[in-house]
Amino acid sequence: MNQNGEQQFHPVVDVGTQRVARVYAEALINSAEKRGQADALLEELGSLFDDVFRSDPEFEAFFGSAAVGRKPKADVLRKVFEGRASELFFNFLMVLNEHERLDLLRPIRMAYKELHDQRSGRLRVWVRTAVPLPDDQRQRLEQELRETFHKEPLLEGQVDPELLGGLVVQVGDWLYDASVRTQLKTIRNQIIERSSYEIQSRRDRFSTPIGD
Amino acid sequence: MRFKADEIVSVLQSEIDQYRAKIDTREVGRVLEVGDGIARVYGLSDVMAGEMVEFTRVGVRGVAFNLEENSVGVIILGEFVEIAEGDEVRTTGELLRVPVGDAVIGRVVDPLGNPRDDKGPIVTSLTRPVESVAPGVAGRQPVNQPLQTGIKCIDAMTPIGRGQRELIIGDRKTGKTAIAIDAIINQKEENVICVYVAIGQKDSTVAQLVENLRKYGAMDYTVVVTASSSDPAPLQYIAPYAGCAMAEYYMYEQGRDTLCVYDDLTKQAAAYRQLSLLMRRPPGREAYPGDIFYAHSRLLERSAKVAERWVIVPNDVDDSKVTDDWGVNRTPDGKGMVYIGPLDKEHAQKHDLPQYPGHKLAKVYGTGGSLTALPIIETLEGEVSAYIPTNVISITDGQIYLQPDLFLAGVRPAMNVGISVSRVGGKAQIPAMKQIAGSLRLDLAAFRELEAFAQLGTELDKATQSQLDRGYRMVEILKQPQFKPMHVVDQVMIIYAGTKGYVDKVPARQVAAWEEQFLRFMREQKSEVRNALLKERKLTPAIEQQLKAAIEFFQPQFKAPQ
Repeated sequence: MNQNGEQQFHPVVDVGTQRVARVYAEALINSAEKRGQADALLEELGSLFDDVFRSDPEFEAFFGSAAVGRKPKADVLRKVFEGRASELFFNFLMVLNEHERLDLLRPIRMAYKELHDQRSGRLRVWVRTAVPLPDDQRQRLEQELRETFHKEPLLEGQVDPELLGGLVVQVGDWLYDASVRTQLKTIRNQIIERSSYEIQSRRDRFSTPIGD
Repeated sequence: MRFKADEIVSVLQSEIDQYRAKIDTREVGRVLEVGDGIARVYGLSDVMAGEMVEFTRVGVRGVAFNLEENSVGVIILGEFVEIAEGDEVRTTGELLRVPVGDAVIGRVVDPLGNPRDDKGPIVTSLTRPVESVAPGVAGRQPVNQPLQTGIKCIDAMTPIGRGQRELIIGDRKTGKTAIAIDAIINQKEENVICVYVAIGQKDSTVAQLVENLRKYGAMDYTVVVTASSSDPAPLQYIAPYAGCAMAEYYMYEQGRDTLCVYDDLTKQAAAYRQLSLLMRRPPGREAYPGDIFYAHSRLLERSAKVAERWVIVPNDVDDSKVTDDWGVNRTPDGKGMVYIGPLDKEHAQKHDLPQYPGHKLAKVYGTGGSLTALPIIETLEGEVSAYIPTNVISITDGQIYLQPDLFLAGVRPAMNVGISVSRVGGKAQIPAMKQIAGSLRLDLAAFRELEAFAQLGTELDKATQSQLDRGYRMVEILKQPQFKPMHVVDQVMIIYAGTKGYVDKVPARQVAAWEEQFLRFMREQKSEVRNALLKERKLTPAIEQQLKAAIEFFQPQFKAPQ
């Protein structure tokens, strides 16, 4: 399980941006599939963020800035990526620059990831556990998910000691919570609810004429 | 009293033993933006419109209001300042519900049913959905029973029937709330459950009002639902629906008569406008959303007189347990025969019942309840043709129009008789009132016209002068102080005295004293006349004779106040 899985579950705020990003991502994946480079391109996209932008955030700001014109950006792109990146990826960056959409790289990457998972029959599953999941349990979980969703599960997740025990599995918008923390919370609420009902109904015996 | 530790331990132990762990499955989303009582949520792709959602970290609930392509607009019911971007939101699979039943009677609650009166938690297993569908055509019957407000001018000229919707409309400070409160206080003897919904009012006003209701013993059968002006707009918006649900419980489940006051719908409309604009729904006239009419019509449509269901049962059965299938006679398909509504009942009495000697016609328990609505609308400068007033006027079955100039002239309640109407209540008036009040309204309207003419200072002939004198006296008689609702029989007697000219000789300033002394005289010395009227509910010639004699007997006894 890697630590950056959380990213998928922190969506981009702007809904309109997302819609545009999806269009570009779809175009990109279509041409990548035609060339049989879908996986390689995903890796390239990932590497752009994890290796380049992480070590040099100003570079991302430069691409995202509207203050810099198309021309200077194209020059930089050419200098940096020509020859180093695959032809398809380089072309894609140039097209984005042409349309002044380089600021959308992040949402495009997310949309690409989603589309790629969808088309290859994979299912991203986010798992939170109190302690790191042992391999045999992890395999059992994968087996279970495979049978339930008929897709190849890709587990991402993190260790969250606050759960106390058990695990929390999230698939898309659905959350399956089998953590000890939630169960303790439920039982606490149940006890409070039932006791206050008892107290009230006994008190009512004195105050209402019906009583028993 | 001492606690027994092992007893508590054993209770907890049994709870834990009984606890069955199951995986908590929920659909989740995340808050994108939040503010002004609404939140935009990403995810929740399977949420239903109107479904209740929960902000898990802070435990606040909300309702899915807008379902959009990529996000869900949620109205937050409660404190929204704690909610932050990125918070988890979960679905509950339920509609918004409020606690109902005897546990809320006598309480002051917010629109979610949380107590606001420091009288401990409201614990009950009875709940009803806040939004529910109004009964259809077959489920209703015509309004046929009066709802006595105890206010002379209303009960005489714009009578309200049980199940009716009568709008109270007027400028600020014209006594709109006073009428509603008097109507609630008057239900003490009438066995009507009351719900008062305060929307966007000052908490101090509501506190004063609850104090008054308590003082007059009205809190024993009243629920006060309050969403004050400091509460977020979503709470103000759902308050009338929540109050209505509390009344509906008694109407549908127990067949009781209920009265619901919505004070006032202008503020609710403003709250709904705020929500809709924040949700970016397109604004229409006066920036209200397109469905503002529906917001009010679906609320007021829930007032109803539920059809009575009657069955023929043996004489000795317990009336409070009768159900639909108890009828001894069968329909062709083998079910128990049920007679629905007054026409069916009459048919059963005339034709079917005689075939079953030793049997009676019994009402199915829980049918025949009613919900009377008194919505209140505040106008600006008497402008009834503004958007919200015209909407609500067209929805309701009549309106009581209050005017500031009348109010300032000391005519209280400041009802403008000319344009106040009640479209269905006339059928529900008791016969005695119908007999004497028939012409009252026209006479008063004619008087107002004449009065305007008389102010020009022209010489008036004797007939006109006497008509004017009568008018002044009638106006005096129809005045009524607050918190003094009057029994309908007393109303009949005093209005009778007025319309028959017995008060014409009394100076206008002394009419109130005359009325008070006269009614006391009737109660203490001529109680047989009063009781006969109470029993017969109409002015038979015999009773009228007695009443006339009583008035003539009283006339010389009147002592003018110093």
